[in-house]
Amino acid sequence: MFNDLDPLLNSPVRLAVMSILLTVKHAHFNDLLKETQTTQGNLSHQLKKLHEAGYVQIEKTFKNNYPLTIISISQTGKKAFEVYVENIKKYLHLNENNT
Amino acid sequence: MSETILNPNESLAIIQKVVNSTRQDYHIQRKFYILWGILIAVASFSQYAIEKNILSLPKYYPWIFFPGVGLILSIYWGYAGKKTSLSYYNHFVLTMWFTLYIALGLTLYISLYNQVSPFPYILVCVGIGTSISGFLMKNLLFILCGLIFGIGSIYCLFIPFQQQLLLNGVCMLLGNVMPNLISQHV
Repeated sequence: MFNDLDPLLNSPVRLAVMSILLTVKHAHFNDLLKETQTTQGNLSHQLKKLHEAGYVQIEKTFKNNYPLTIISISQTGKKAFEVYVENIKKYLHLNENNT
Repeated sequence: MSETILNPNESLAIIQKVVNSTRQDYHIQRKFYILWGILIAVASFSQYAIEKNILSLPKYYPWIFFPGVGLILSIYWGYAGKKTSLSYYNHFVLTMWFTLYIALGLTLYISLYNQVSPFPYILVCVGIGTSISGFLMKNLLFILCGLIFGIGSIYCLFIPFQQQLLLNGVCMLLGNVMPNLISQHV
């Protein structure tokens, strides 16, 4: 039905992650976990999908000998999100002139 | 495994909810501001003690030692800070303060070279940074503390150099350290 909407973004957790990443320079995995209120496994799985599509950049490092994952949105991801929002507006018959 | 497919209304609701609820103050690194406020205050008081012959150290030694300590700790914390979430707000504020501290260092050097007191300029720089931080955070305390620095910088013009050292130290503690300590617990 909503086939114009990017299927990668049209999922609750992935959309939430992308929305968060748009507001920050980069985010810690645990912060995304807290904000999305999903499970660690599900978040990893969704991040992997976003990473494979080139929507996010993932940096794995260590802090005090503990693994640390830092995620940031890529230019491709920003563009995809903009297109996604534009498509939502079309479906909802919203445009900048009447908002 | 099937996934939940969102309709446009649900998508918009998620975006609005997430953007509104995402904390914009991820790990505000107030320790930077507290550290520099304390170091500049201690440098000012130490310089006062040297001027009054209470401390027997080379002149201007505090302005090399304490900022040096600050620089080393800032680089270390800055490196460690990269490993945490960073909002665009915090990124802007950190960059602004980094630039202002460079301006402070240059001001200090130029003032000493020209043999004029650097404190009115230092207080103006820190006051601008504190006020901008306050406006961005919509925090009245920081805005008022920025004003304290402004008043302090003007008052500096009417008092001797030694008292300017004390005024600078007090302004740093009241206008920089105090609001950051209080806000940490808000």
